[in-house]
Amino acid sequence: MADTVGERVFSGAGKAWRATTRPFRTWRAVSESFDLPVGLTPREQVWALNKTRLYRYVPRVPEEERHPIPLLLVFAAINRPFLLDMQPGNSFIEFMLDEGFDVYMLDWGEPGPEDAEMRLDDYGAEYLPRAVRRVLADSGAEEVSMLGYCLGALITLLYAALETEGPLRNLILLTPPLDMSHDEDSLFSAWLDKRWFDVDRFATNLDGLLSSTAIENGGKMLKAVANYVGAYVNLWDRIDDPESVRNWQAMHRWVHDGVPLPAQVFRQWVQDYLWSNALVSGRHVVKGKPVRLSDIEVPVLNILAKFDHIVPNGQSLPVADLVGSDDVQTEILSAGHIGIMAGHKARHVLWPTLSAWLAARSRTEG
Amino acid sequence: MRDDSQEHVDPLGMARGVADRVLANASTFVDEVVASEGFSESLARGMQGVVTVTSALRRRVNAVGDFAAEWLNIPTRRQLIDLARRLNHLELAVDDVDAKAAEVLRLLAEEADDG
Repeated sequence: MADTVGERVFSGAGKAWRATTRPFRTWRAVSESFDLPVGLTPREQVWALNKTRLYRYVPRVPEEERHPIPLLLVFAAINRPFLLDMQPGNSFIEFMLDEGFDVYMLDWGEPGPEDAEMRLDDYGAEYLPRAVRRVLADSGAEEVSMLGYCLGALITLLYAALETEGPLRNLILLTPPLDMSHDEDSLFSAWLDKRWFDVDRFATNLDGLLSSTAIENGGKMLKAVANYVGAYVNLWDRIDDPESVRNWQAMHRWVHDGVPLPAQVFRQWVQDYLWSNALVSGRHVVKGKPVRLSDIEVPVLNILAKFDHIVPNGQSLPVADLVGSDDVQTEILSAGHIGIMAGHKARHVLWPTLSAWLAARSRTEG
Repeated sequence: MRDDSQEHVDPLGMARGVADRVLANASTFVDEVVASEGFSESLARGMQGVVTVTSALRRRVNAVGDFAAEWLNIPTRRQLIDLARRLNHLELAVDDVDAKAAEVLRLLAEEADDG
């Protein structure tokens, strides 16, 4: 049916109004993103040590329907972990709770200058074993499954290789930056090449911490135009879709809400991991104990993002050959480094994959 | 009479198309630049230069702060950082003791169950 003249005038006026106000609405959406409430799934703190906090999320299914092995989420130490719990209805943690998992999350917190001497090893060998002990004490379980994301995956690998007699039941690795011999696709390897980058001098002059701004911009420069301009064009395009805008705001807040990194962690990552590839070559020693990935015998699910420009696939793929487990599954999903967990397809692709793999391996004997 | 088959000229749409093409080309160009060896070297040297300069400035500011703190008879920044570091070590030690106590209690409970 043809529109009346009045309807066409109103429709045209509405479109004109939306077009005129689009820049202001876009600007407002950006500025409001910094105050957007995130990480809203109910939880309680069960342990704290230094800046590290361990949270248990309030279960959403009755105890008799829950999987008996709790799941501990270990996020990267350079970002806030609310990427795993963005918004109600768009939260990995919420999804896993609905799937019947008892979910714990380790938040590394924001280091201060007093943490300047911390090393990457400390996360895996000092803090994570203590957190695991608390998870077991709190849940009453005898085993725990672990999910590590990005740098968190590296920390969980350290833990799994060092605590071979420990209570780890399953290990999920999301985009682990492990094998640095495949550095041809990694811009970080080029930027921090030892031919022109003196990491000792750099770390010494940092006054204890590598700022979150430096880390954020380092990540953004990998895809500079897409991150500095494209992200805002994307918002401009979807400004009339409130749900889409809310998801964009949550992601924007996460990107701009990083945490600094202790200078020694950065120095160790560059020297031992990026330059020497010590973890893969078996030359890495923590507290006098060699770290051998071949000692990891628990089931491992290794998930890669096909379009990952932060951790190129070549760094993560060798996990299957390096660990000693007979039960290793590698999945390459069609997503980017962040989109794999928080993109609009994650709910239908990554989350069910994780849940199904873990559920099949979360039964207690007898 | 309106002719629906006729395409309307959309100047905003055309501008957007041009902008998208400019962005795509810029993206390709910038990605190539940041992947070049020259950029890598410049970035690394630039970062080191900035950190070296700011470090020198920070040392001077800290020296002034320390002098003022001592004059006011309050702890200096360095002293506060040392104190926080000691508290962290203490916290780790307490956590170790707590773990051992929990293990002892668990063994005692097991023994009581067996007995």
